[in-house]
Amino acid sequence: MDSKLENLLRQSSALWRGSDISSRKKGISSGYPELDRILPNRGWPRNSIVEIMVPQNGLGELQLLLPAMSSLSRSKNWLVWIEPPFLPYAPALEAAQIDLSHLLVIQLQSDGRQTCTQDIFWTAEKALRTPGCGMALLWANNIKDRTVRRLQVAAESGQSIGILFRPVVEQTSPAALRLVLKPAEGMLQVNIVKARGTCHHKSVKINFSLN
Amino acid sequence: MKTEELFGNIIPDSVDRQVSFSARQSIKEKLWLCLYFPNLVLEALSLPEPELQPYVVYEGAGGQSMIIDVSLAACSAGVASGMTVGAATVLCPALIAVPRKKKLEKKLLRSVASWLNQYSPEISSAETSSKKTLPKNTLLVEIGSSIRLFGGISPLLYIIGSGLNKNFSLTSKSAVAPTPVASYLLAKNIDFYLAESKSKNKKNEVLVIKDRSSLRSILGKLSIADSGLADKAVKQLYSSGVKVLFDMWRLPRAGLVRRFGVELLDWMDRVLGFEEDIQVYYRAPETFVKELALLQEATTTEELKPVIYKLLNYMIRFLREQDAAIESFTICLKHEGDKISANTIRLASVTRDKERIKLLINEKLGSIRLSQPVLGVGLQATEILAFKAETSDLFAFSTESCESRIDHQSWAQLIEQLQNRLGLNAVQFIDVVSDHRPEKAWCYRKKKPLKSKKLLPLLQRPLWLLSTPQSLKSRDGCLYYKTNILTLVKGERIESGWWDGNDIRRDYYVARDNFGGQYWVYRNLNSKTEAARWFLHGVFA
Repeated sequence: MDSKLENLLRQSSALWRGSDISSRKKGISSGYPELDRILPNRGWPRNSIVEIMVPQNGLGELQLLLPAMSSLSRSKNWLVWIEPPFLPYAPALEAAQIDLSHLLVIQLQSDGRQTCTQDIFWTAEKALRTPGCGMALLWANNIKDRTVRRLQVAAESGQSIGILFRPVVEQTSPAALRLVLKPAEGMLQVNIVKARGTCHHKSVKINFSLN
Repeated sequence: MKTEELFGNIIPDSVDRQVSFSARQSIKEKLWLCLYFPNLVLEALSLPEPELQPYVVYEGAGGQSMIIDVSLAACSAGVASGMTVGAATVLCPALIAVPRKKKLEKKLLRSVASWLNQYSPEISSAETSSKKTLPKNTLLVEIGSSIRLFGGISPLLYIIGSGLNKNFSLTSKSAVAPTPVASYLLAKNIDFYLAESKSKNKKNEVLVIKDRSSLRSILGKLSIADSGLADKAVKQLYSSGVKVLFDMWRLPRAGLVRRFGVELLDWMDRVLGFEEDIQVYYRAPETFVKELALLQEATTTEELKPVIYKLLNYMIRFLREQDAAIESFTICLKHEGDKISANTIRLASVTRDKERIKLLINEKLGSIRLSQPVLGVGLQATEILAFKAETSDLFAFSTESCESRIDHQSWAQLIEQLQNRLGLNAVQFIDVVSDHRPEKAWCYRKKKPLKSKKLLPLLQRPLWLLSTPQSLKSRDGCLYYKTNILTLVKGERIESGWWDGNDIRRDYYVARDNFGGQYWVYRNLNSKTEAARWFLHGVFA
């Protein structure tokens, strides 16, 4: 009886069980061992949305993702930057060994038309669903939970990582992994506020050295 | 005197021709399929129930109107071509007389020619040939060069025959021969030849003569009256005892020239292939434009879909016939008062892939807001390009797996979709440029940038660049960004660009504020005033 039930439960993909954490698929290494240690997948989880709440631009939020982006880029995965707040600077990206032939920059304003939030999310969803998408980075305000859930589904079907940058710290969100970034004495403090599958929230300080 | 001269010239010349012909023969043998449409005049009008109604088509007006084509029903009532409409009405009171429409005939022939283009590039009709040697209701198709592609002559003839039946309601007779005129003569008189042969399936029979040397004896049986020569020449020949073509073949050439002129000899040489019969080929229109009116006003784009798909089918067929492809096309929506709204769709690469174009149409329709109801839809492709079958880049992907090749395709399609929905400038690649000036060291690109570039060795660069440097306040020897004091860490002087008038002299620094932000700032050494010397140019994010 027990084994039959076990089998039935195992077949259902909608059911998530806490005991699955240990057998989880390994994510993409963040390039920072101290961060990998506390991330639930020992890296950035493929197939989910990661919400990064950062109060101001320029704290090192891209630096945090750069090693993972560069390793995805080396294995010919695509990177899509949607509505970045500034110009992504090609020489710096090239220096970080990011393949510029697999990087798309989507800027809606540049066309002279009004930014339509619906278009932004549509783009993100399309990109996340397309096979071969490594990471889609999205800068957006006022994103609804429903949209995040849609993006989460898109990331799952495309086996891709969706990064959602949000300026304000929201209390709740359907994203699988939520991080809050804070500056701390010349370092970057990463607090995990939510990680699907764990209930203990850890934080780590990362030191970026600019040489 | 004059005939003597002609005599002297013609004979050696024609002997020469025979010699040169046999030398040429081995190089390339042309084979002509002649499609003869005996009832084109009537069928072009596409009248209802053509089998049952007694139709006649007449030309000319008033008392001179002459019948030029009759339907089967009218024919059985005794009406024949050449009668006046008045006389025919007496024979058959139910007669329906329709005026001839030459334009429709031309249009129909053109559409058949355009359809035939997918089987051969060389098609000629009365319209194209400059000498007007071809009768108006025939098309000539050079199939000699297509035989191998379609796996033999009979499969090719079968494809053409069945396709013709399926797509056009035209009665056709066809024959294949090595010369254009011979193929026409055979097609026109096919009933005569089929009556001779013992073949049972006479309906779809195509007479095929591949050998030039047998033309003489086969065509020889034809009566002079069926030769398609001018009436005057036929009468003259008849009165001199030439009843069938064979009689003519046997006459000495010199005598023929003297009595009937060079034209007849010329015609004879063209029939038998002693002289090349140069054809001018049909050329397809260079743009695709088609419109359909809606039965009912459409207020949503969803209602337009079936019509646009239908137009798309026409366009794909057109492209296939031309062996062409497109890079962009336009959907025109017609509103009341002849207002037209055009929506251009651009494709990332030259294509005629129906499913791919369909996807883009759906995407485009999703983003169109109809401000007024639509009465008609048109599809236009003005730039028709040569079609190249999609080949996977042999070298670019030789080291990658098959899977990544599929990825590559789906990304090309994604970029196409994004560009069509968001605008061409919204979707871009970025690339590095070999220049020391930070603002000129990068650029946008519409297409994938190439890899492996020679890069300038650069110091640390920020990931974010401001499109226009932001002026920073400096007060009491301190530099401020917003309200935070910046501490400068490292410096680098960039001095470049004197050659193109955009020269810069700047000292760049990495600057930190107390809250963990890292910035790229510079001091403009060219600046005259102290106030506007410091600028923020990048953010280390």
